[in-house]
Amino acid sequence: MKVRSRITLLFVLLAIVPVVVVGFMAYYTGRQSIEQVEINHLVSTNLMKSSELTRWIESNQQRMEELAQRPLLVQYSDTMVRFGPANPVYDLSRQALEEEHLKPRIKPAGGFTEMSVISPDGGIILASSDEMQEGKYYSNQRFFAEGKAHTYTQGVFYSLPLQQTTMMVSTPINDSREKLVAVLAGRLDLGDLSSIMSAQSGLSRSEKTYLVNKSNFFVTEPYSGQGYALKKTVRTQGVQAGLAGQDGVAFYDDYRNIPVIGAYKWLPQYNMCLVTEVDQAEAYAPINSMAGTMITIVSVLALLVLAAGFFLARTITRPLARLVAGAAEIGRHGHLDRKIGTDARDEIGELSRAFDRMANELKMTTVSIDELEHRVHERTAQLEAANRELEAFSYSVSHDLRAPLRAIDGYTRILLEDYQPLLDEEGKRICSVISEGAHKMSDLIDDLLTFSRLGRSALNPSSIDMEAMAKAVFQELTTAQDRKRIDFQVEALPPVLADPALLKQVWVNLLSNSIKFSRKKRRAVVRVRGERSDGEIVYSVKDNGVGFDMQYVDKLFGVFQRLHSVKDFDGNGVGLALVQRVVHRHGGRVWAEGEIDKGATFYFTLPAQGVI
Amino acid sequence: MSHMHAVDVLLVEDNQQDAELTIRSLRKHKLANNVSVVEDGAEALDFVFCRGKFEQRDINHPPRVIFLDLKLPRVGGLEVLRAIKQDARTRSVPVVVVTSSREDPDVKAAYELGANSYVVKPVDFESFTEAIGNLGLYWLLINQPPK
Repeated sequence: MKVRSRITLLFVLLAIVPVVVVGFMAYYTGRQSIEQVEINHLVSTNLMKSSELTRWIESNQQRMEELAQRPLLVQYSDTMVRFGPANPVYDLSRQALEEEHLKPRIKPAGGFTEMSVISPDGGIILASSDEMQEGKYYSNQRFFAEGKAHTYTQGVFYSLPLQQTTMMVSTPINDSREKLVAVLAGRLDLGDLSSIMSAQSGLSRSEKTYLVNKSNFFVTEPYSGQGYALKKTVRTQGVQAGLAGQDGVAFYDDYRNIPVIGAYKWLPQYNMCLVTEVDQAEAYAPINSMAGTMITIVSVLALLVLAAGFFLARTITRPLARLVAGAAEIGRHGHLDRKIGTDARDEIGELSRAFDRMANELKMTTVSIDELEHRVHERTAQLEAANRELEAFSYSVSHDLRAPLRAIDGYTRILLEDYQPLLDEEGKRICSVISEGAHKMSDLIDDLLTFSRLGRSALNPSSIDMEAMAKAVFQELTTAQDRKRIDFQVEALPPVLADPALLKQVWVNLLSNSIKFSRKKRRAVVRVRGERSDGEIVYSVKDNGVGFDMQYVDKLFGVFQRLHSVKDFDGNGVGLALVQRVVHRHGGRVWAEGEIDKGATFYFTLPAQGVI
Repeated sequence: MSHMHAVDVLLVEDNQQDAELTIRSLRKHKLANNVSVVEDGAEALDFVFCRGKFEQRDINHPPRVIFLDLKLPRVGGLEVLRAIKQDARTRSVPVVVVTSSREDPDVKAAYELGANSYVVKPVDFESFTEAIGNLGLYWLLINQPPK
């Protein structure tokens, strides 16, 4: 996952997750508390409604009882029961009952829809506010039977005589000796009941309270004017629980199949179930609207954070991406001129600038390396050219200088051979001088060539037993007679890694010098030593010969430099120059100490680790 | 064998003094009966391959030995050597490289091209006479050329 995506994601998580968590908790808590409030409200509404119902019924019962105790009403009833319809008093009493006591209790003046006086024996309606009901029987009605003994309210039922649902209150009419005279029955207005039930607390529009009877019929209208009462049945979860005799609260779909919170309460005295419901949609509306607002806020916040995160990530990763691109270009193509270039004052800016500096220094280094390489190439080419020229020169010298010498010597000999009789002794001597000069010059040429070859040919180092080499060279340079005269002492010499052919030249030159310059001593001593010191080996050749003046020590190792006359000691002055050249080529040093007539010591060193 | 065509030694030498000294040395050893001298490489090739002024020569009768200096005007000694050793008719002729210098960078090349011998001319006349004499003796008398 790229850094940009990671940062963006992190931002979103950091910003959104807490909001979502807090929002969800707030929603859950809010919903819980709303439910609790709603449930409390519903339960209390139920309690209130049931007590209102009771109060309504009791107040009607009181009115009935009060009416039943009126002496005139008792008297009229008694007269009617006692004398029967045949007696003219009966009608008079009936009329009086109806006009004076029953009808005034009927709506709209009173609270009942019908009021009757019923004979205790046959249950015949003696008098009624509704004259159409007179003569009908209520004998099989429960309110009649109960009403003979005490005040009774029969819950909603279907009245056959009335051919409609009704609710009846009955109370006995007793005379002054508490003897039953008749039963007073009043039909209650179910519309009133509906009004009481459906009267809303005003808290919520969808709240409804209604009564359901044992047969699952609506007793009151859930909402006024729907015509449900005793025409439609209801079998919702709340109603069923209530009809099963339970009090409680439940969440379920009501008769309209709309989710509600419902409180149900069984009213045993009326064989009815009281249900108060409120639509969940309405109950949860505040919390739902809050949730909606919250979701909107979270969404907007998420988008903002996403944008902010994306932007921030970009400001972080864009310099990084440039850095990566720059590094890639330098790495892959070696474009050291490539600059990241940034004004950013943060760590990435710091890094970018450090990177630029690095690239710059790298470039400078590369340039200088390139330049050096170029120079090395140039110098090597020059050196090679010089070397070739030198070789050609050497060849020319050896070839072209020797030819005339050969001619000089050759023709001198021819002169000696062919014209011998014509030459006197002096002529012959001159001829031999010419020959000698030619020979000497030939030797000089050879030495010079050797000297120049030593400086050019490649070294072929190998391990050398210096002691054996020194002894062998001494042997080669001397005759048996020489060896008798010379005391040659060789100490144990450390071996060394060097070019054997060149080292042999060194020994030849140093030892032949010692032998040569100590020739005039009766007892010559040549002493060869060697010892390790400080990473190098110092070899020395000491003799007790003629020595030299230290004043001229500088000239000792120069080409063609001589400190003694050829008359005394032969040689052409190349030997020590050759020694110096070989030793220098091996990374060593040469020097000499001497005193006239006391002898000389020549030193040379070679690196102990071998050839440089 | 026509007397005119019978050449024992072909001396390729631009230095007339060296040539004279060589011939004198051969004569000393009684080997100078049939010595021809040419002064440069081009002439040497004409001689060997019977061209130009040597047209009348018979290529089937090559010299018994060629003394060749490497440093020659016009055509160099190595070129002459290469031409001789590359041609089937002349390949078997012994070629002795005679030069003044042991420093000669062409010595190795000369051997690779098929030189039969390599001799450095000594400055000392006695040594020179001896060396040339030995060469002549060896290649003309001791060495048996292929039939």
